[in-house]
Amino acid sequence: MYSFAHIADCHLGFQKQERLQELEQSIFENALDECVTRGVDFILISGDLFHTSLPDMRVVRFAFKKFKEVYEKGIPIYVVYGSHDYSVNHHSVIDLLTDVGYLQRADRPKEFTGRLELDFITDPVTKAKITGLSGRTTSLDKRYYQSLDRDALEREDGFKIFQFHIGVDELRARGTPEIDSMPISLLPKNFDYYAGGHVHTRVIEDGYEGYGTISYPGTMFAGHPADFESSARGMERGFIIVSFDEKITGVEFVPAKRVGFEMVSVDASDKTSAKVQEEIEERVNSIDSEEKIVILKVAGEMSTGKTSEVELTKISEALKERGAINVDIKRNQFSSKEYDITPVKGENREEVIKNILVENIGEVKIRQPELLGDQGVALAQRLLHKLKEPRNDETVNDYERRMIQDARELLGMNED
Amino acid sequence: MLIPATTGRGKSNLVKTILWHVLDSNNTVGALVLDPHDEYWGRTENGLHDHPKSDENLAYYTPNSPPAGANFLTINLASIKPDHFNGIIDLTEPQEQALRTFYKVFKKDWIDAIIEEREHPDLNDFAKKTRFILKRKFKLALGVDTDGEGRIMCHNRVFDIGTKGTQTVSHILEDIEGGRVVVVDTSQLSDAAELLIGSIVASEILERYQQYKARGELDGKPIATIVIEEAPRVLGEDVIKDSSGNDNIFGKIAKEGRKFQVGLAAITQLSSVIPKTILANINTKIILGNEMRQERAAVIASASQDLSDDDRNIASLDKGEAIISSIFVPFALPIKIPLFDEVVSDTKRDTKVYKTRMY
Repeated sequence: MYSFAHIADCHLGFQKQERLQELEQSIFENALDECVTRGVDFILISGDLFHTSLPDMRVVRFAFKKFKEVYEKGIPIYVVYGSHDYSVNHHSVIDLLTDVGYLQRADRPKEFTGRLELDFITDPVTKAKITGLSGRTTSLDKRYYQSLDRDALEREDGFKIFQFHIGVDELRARGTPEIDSMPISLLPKNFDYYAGGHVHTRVIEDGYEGYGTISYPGTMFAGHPADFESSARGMERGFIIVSFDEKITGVEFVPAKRVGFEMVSVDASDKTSAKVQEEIEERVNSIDSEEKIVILKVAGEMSTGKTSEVELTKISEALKERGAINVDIKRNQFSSKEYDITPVKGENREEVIKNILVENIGEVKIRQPELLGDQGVALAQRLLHKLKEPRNDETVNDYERRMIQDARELLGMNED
Repeated sequence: MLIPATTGRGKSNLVKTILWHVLDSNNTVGALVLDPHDEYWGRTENGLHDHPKSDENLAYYTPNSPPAGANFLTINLASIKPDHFNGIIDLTEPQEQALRTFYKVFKKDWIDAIIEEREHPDLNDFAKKTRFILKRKFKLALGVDTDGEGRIMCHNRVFDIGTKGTQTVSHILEDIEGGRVVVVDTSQLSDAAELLIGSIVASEILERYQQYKARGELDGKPIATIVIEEAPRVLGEDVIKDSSGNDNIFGKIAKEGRKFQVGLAAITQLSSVIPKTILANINTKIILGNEMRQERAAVIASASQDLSDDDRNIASLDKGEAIISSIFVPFALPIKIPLFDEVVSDTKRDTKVYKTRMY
């Protein structure tokens, strides 16, 4: 009997606060330690290992150190890239990890001649055959999947794993952040296990005709502003361990190192600012915030007073003094009747941005269809995401050049 | 829109051709196509998937081994509400009351509860026989049954009681609201199951569009239309009203959908069994050849223009010929419908092949 671990969407480098950075690191390290302790034969990482292609040196350092340890234990790690991991214009940190051999790429396209042919990599101990596709952007991904030479992949015998980094429509869950997805039918059939990444919630599903187990372990901590809220609502975080011989014999979800969450939701509708302040304080005082991440969500339209009169920052400071690791304030839907400011719909920053783009894209009067409608919104979102990447250990000129190159690439603009 | 014609006059060719052009409409029209013969997508012959914009603008849901790019058609039983059955299965008043009580008591598990014959004090008012007949009707309509251990199983693989298919309806709605054509292969389903899916989507889309209108957000939304074959199955005199006399969702859309940009494309051989009030509310008719006098009379009586002199012309329309009568045209227009296969061939000839580059 063999086993492998399936991890995805670590988004190392996503956190900006020191305490959260420590948690992000320890959750990642604990997970790999757990894989070693359990004696898995290999590990799959299905994309978005890093949050950016060039994370800061602190992240690079601990990631290299941990991967080196696992490598020296003789446990291979097979990866596909996620859209956060790589850049088409310059080398990424994940490339260094594959160059030194700590990680091995499972996406191995042969020469592309109309049909996209993929090679398998065979795990030396278990003889499991692994292949897959990295994630880029939905439209490009779909095109790759559409041109995939399925027959060859489906004909291959043995225990087969397909690694990928894109959502699938049929498994998309309500309440999760909107993600890129495609139908299951674009995945090749007849694989025993489909190791997915990109979806930040856990999904393990069987029973689609022609397909083996399709799984997403979800993120182990967070890689999106909405992830903490999902965790606070009870979403368990972790990774998956699969046992197999000729077929899968067991699928186990392994919880990641536990992090405490508290969620406080206050409805401000038809209340005064003083009443809202009082209610928040009352609710906040009733929770145990010690060593927990607190989500403070205020929504609704107040009858009187300004939203700024509700001292959310002060409340946040008080919670931190009482030992909260971090306080995440969500007030996108918080407004007052005294002010004619219509809050933009959206549960989190990403949704708000998308909704603003959707509402205003119709004002754009140009002829290029790729800049209009859903395509235009998706492109603008990708561009914003790219331009938000921080400057790392590089000169201002290098950073500027990298940003311009990446933006041009996203916009499909040639150098000349 | 009404498309009345007898068999062999080119109804499918017309609908396919219309939908082919809808795929080119820059997402200004979204359509749900219930496809009982699995002929529109084009598994074995030319179909809508041959359109150059099919990747972006066409969605295909099928329970039958979806080809690459298509979606599994799986609908979770929890997505279904009692109103969705209006006009789909014939229920007596006590059966309808029992059904609503099951929904009130068991919420999202209400269909499981009917099939599993679950007990609850609120159900004591209903005779065992009523509940038993309700169960039998649901089993037949949905193609579900219980195995030896009492677990619910579905013969057609479309309805699921587990974790699958919880989002299928909202995905279909997203597609329609995105101005896409959604083809749902219902070839392996019973009539009732097919119409139930149509009823679920139609109810949800009308509700959403009503809300958009109330919020002033209807402008900019694509027109939503539901293409339904053998329309008297839901628009016929005998099925359009429930036991309380309310119109089913298709009747509602035919009468008032246009206020909310929601419409029907009703295809039928038997216009005469559709109530006059419904026929009169359908403003556009694409009339294909029809030898049956009674059917011609029903169509002519409800046409937007006076077609009383065209009775014989309609009878003698050849395959591919039609007359459009609509409030949107000043007079009845004779048209020639191109052959779908030729439309596809012409487009293929003019389309450049895109080659994907791999990085």
